[in-house]
Amino acid sequence: MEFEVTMADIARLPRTPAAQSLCKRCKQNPPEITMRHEALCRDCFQIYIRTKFTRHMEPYRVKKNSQTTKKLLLATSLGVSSTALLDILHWHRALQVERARRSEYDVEVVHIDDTALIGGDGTTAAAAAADECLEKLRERYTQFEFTKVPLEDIYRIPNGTAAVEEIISTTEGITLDHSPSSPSSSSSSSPLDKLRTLLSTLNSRASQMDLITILRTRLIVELAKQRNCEAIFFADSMTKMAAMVLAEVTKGRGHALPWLISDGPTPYGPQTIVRPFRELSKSEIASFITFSSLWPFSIISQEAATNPPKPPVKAKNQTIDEVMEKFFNDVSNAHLSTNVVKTAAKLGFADDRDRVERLGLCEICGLPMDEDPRIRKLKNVKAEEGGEGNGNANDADARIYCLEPPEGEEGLKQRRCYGCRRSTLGAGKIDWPVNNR
Amino acid sequence: MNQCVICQTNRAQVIRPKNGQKICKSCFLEVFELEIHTTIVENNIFPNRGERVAIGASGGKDSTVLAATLKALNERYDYGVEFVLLSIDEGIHGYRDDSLETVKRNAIQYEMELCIVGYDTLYGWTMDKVVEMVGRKGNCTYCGVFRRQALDRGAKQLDISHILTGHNADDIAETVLMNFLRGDLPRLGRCAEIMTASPTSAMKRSKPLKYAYEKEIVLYAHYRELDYFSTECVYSPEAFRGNARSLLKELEKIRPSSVLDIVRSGEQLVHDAIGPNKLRYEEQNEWYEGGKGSENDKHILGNLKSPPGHGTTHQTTDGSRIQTIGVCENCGYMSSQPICKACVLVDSLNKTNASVGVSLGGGQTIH
Repeated sequence: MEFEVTMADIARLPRTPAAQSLCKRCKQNPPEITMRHEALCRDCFQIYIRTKFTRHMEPYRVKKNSQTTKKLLLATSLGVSSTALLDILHWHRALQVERARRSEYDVEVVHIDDTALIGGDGTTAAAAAADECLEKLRERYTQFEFTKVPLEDIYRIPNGTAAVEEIISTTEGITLDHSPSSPSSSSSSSPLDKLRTLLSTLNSRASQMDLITILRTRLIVELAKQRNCEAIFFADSMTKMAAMVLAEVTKGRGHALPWLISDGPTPYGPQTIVRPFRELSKSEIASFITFSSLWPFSIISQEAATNPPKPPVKAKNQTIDEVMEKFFNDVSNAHLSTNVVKTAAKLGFADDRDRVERLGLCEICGLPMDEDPRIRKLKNVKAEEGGEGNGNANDADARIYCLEPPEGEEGLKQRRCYGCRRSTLGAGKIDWPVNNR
Repeated sequence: MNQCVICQTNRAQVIRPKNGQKICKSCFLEVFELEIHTTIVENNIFPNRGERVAIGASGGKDSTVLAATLKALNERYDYGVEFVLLSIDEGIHGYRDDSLETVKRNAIQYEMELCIVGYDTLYGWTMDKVVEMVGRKGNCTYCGVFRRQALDRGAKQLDISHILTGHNADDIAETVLMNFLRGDLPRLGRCAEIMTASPTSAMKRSKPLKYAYEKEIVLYAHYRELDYFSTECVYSPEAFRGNARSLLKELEKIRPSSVLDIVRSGEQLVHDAIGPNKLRYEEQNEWYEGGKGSENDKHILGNLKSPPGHGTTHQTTDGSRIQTIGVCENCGYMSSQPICKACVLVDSLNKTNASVGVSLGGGQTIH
């Protein structure tokens, strides 16, 4: 390209007759960005972004008599939002150190590396890009610790309740078993092979990506448990979350929406989830990156972020999440993400306790199980009439939703939620690496 | 070559979008009808024998297929109910007049009584005249409000308290997505329900085709050579729905079961999110102390404590509504407001002040 116009350049261009060309908030500097109908200078814009972030940091403010330093785990994809959150968190912690001479928390940054799944040259290139980016981040953000964990390590996580408790009680010296041929594993195949086998049994790229996302989340949670982190930070923007909401609805996980998107405790364990960017749009975060000159610290280039390339796959091979992200990245739909996220956040459950006790957690996604609403209704009717017989209803579930359990797996409905049954449809028996608590 | 996986004898002609099964024509017709029968039985749609039930008939594919299958199923499984076709004449030249001819033929073909209710007799306005007045933008608001009431009034004339509509799985999935996109929490909780009896209407409404794919409905109509009318309304490229519709089409390409999966998700929202149990909030927070929702729930209780006035709607901050029902002071029809929405709209039309109507449209208006 001979000439490149960055968003900052555009923002710097004089707008309309310079009648009132001063930032709406500080009334001193020329505005550089129009944000929610307000023309702001870059300083005021950064204050705005940081304010939105700081609101979520209440539990991590410096407290007078706190004894221990809290440990936070920041999950990074090395994408635009991840880098922005890293930067702001670094700023926030530095401010604590400056003002209070100590910080309330330490941050461990974890990048889950799934490049091995690409295979061939793609793996090498992607892994090199990630390493390079991580190296740059390490140099710049010296207060934080960075680690890269391959996704297949989920197969190295010791399973079972006892094992997890053991890890939590013995705080130091826990490392994952990275030796290539682990004698403890019962089968001879490597974790990567196991992961590849699992994915190869799934019927579409959409299902594969769905399970990869679940595995990534579960690995992050397990790592947080191992490292005694009390909170996990995700850099999901409002735009991303809107896409997540509709994607999960589309996958049939409407029943689990509150757990999927709300901050706070999870069914996975005591760690809380924090998404400090849930009120910021993707474009706002991109502007922040531009103003802070952080583009070199993200794996996504500025051109790619502002003008996303067409997905390299055929329309049929896209994933549900990709379609949804594309939908909300579209400028004409961007404003709808607020509605989606706010509406989803208001959904709650009336019968949480009852449901979890009665139905348990899904063996795949680890979230509370759903129940065929018609069965519940039938039960009520039956209870009133004092009758019985629910075998019929089970058949009808298979008939109406066309989700017949695979042969020999008739009890699957009791162990796997609707969305996970859909994503593993036709996969037969699978070797799933994580157990629920 | 390709054998039907069900009967194992005939050649497969249909790939079912729900599960990719390849089946023959006769098995398709059978499975399609059986699914609707299952839906009816499991949801207890016809609880009383001898009841008269209205089928909202537009002459389009959905309502024609609904009427045809229900007639067949009623004979085969002996529901013991009598069906009446109920049509609304919105007064749209070049669309409704032609489709009503189809309904009239259907009435003869299916030996069902037919009742047509016109906007002009009910409100003194046809949609053609409304559009002349307000233009094409926002005219669907009028039509939607009028139709809901017109269906109720028509059924009342027939002394019927149960209306069946031809909403299919695609319609419901679109509506679920749409209600998320516009942030309509109360409607999100209701839209996937198979049977609704809203507080503003004693009329029961059911959607027996709720699990039927649009594609399969078209196919069924084609195989059974049903007589239906297939023109879109001349006034309404409903922009917002179109957005959700194209999104759904794209999702269906990736995973054909998506339509059904969204319906399923929608059902879960109905029972879990906005059920009447929501008021059991204390228990809930005890277990789940994440702080989520506790504030919202307090608002609901706060509102409950205040004495409900005549026909008012309290919109709480979390979007839940607590409605009390009164009667429209103008027409005597049930309404949550002192004057029902249809009367408000008619009033605004009569005053030739179109803009008022749109702004008073409230939740119904989509910009």
